[in-house]
Amino acid sequence: MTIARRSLVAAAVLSASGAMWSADRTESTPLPPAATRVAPQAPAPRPAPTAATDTQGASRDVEAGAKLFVAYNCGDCHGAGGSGAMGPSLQDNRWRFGGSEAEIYRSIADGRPEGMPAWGPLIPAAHIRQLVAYAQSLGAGKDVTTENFTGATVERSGH
Amino acid sequence: MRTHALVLLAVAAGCSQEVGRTFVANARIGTPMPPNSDAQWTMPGHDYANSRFSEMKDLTSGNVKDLRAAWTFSTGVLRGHEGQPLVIDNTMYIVTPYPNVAYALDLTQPGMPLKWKFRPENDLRATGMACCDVVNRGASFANGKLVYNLLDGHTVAVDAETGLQLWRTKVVDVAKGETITMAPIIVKDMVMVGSSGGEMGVRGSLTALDLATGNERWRGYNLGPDADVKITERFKPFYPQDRGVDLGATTWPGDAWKIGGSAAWGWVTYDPELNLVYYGTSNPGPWNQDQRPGDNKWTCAILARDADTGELRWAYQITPHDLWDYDGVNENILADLPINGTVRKVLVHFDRNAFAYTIDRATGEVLLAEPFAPMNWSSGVDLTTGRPRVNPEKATKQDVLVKDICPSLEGGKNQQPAAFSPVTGLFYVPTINLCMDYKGRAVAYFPGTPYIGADAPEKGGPGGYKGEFIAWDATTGKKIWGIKEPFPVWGGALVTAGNLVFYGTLDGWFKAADATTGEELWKFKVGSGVVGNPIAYRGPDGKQYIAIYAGIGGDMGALIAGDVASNLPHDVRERGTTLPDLAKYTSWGGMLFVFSL
Repeated sequence: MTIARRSLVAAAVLSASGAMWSADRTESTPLPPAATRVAPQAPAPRPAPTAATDTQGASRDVEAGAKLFVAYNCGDCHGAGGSGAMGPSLQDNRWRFGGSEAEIYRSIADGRPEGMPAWGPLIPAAHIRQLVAYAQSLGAGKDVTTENFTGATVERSGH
Repeated sequence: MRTHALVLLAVAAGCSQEVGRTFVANARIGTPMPPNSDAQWTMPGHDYANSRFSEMKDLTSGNVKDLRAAWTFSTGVLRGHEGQPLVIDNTMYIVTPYPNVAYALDLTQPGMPLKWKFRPENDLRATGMACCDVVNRGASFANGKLVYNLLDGHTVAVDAETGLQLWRTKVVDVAKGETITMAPIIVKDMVMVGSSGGEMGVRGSLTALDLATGNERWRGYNLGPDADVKITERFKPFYPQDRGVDLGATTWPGDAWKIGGSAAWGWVTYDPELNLVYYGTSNPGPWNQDQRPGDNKWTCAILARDADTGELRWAYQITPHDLWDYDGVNENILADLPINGTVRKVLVHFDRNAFAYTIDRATGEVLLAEPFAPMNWSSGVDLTTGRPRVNPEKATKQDVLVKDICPSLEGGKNQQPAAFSPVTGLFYVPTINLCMDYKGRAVAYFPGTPYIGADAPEKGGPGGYKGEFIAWDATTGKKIWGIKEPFPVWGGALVTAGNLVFYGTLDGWFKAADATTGEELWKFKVGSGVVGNPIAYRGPDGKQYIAIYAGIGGDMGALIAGDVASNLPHDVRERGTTLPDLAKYTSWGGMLFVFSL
């Protein structure tokens, strides 16, 4: 696979989800420290991400993030709906590298050593923010234990 | 009833005096057994044929009830323990899942102390690239070297006496999502290594390394133009659709073959007389079929290569243009079997697609293809063309939900190897009975990440059982007997001249059954679910031992069992519906269990 082709593919994904580029932002808050970090491979800093603090905006971010989660193949690693597959579950509210907005942002943008690629060069910061919102929404309030035998269907999306 | 019982007793008594009934006369293992093979286990499948047949007769249906645990050993790793240990010169060699630690245990000393422990350099990134747990299917031994593969795409050779690394060769690139999980075999002075990563947009290959130096001798790609696939004028496929120029590229749209999968992560067998190496190739990528019109050669195929040059001599595409993730990587067991009155050199292959194939191993001609597990995707294989007849109702497409396809993507059988007994002439096959719903989805390629494009939740198959351990006659394509299991049988088989078969289950039972009748004679609850393969060896005390790994994982254990994975801090999931009760019976483990009388 050539770089050119890869970029084309990424562009195709972005254009497919292009409508979400202009997600409403009514307020700006200071950047989390991680958001200003640029992955080593990143050619240039990304536009400054912003945080939605109003609930409407937050829920729009979650919805947009859910669509991006599919568009960027996140589910092929993390399972349909983030239920876990090759990559860790995102539904269990257990975060190997921290569950704060800044920490999850860093995990996506810079990658992590056990196979999570650095998506910073490929995914616009605004999209990463929406993915963070979606990921945080999945496990909110949950702590699934080994004794839980009453869980819902876990759909498998890849192997 | 009483009369009936008496008759049964009489039959049982009669049976106990014969070693084993012969179902198929004049059946032979297709390759010579290795020297001193009843005492040793020097390669993954015991011999080049992958018979997993032990000549030992100490254990029989009469005394196996007295089998007991002799000793155990913890590997220190809690992941899927597929594969099997080796035993050479009273030393047992164990390779763990990632980080792929190797142990040498001295069987001559009380307590089997370590002779050495080897921990290789092994890139942590690989743990996030491996699709189906961080498994390793074992090592091979030759010329004083233990040779095995690392998850991060390297092959290592270790001095069997000292545990010192002799060489370490990068075979594939983990940054592209390529890993290695398979067990290499050593042919002449070469090591045969296949790549994993069929879900990651890789380009699969088989590579021969020099046993002495680790240098590459040849590499045959499973996709691409003829020069890369090593197709020359010596390539003689049996079926017309497999003849042509550059089919490994032209049966794909554009240059999709460059990321078309076709990994070689299964078992390799070798016929010294024909000098052919046999292996199968994985699914095409992505799973979403709309993105790859064409036959997608040479995915889901059996390939026969010249061992010295790597040239492809014949190929047979089992599932052209795969629509269900039916990898063709399962082992090709070499046997000489009477077919229609003539003893033929065949290979027998129990495919993911749930057909059992008996194939002429010199030519690639399919002699017989019959279902061995519940299936509905095909009405049969056309033996004049070699192509399966696809049931259009079960053909998958992008954005269309197709329900109740059998078998599931795990297949009627997966990596767990079958065994062959020349005594009975039968094959002993661990099988799976799951079905799935399937919906293809457009997917983009990002290097080093999954390139799949489908959702395929699985569920139990028809009949209320999810696995069955069966005995199979490959000359007629008929099941002789079966032991139904509540879970898929994900561990491999061992059969002995004492007419016993051994296998383990996901719920942690290690079992022995009569190879003739399928009667379960003994079982022992080991510490974790079994996904490994039993071996037999003779100890320094002259006794017959049976060894098996316990340690649930692999694709079934790690990805579907849900709660079974839940002791990992990063993988605490709600209960899956595929194997809802499995977590009640097992949890992660990593133990060797050894049994004797």
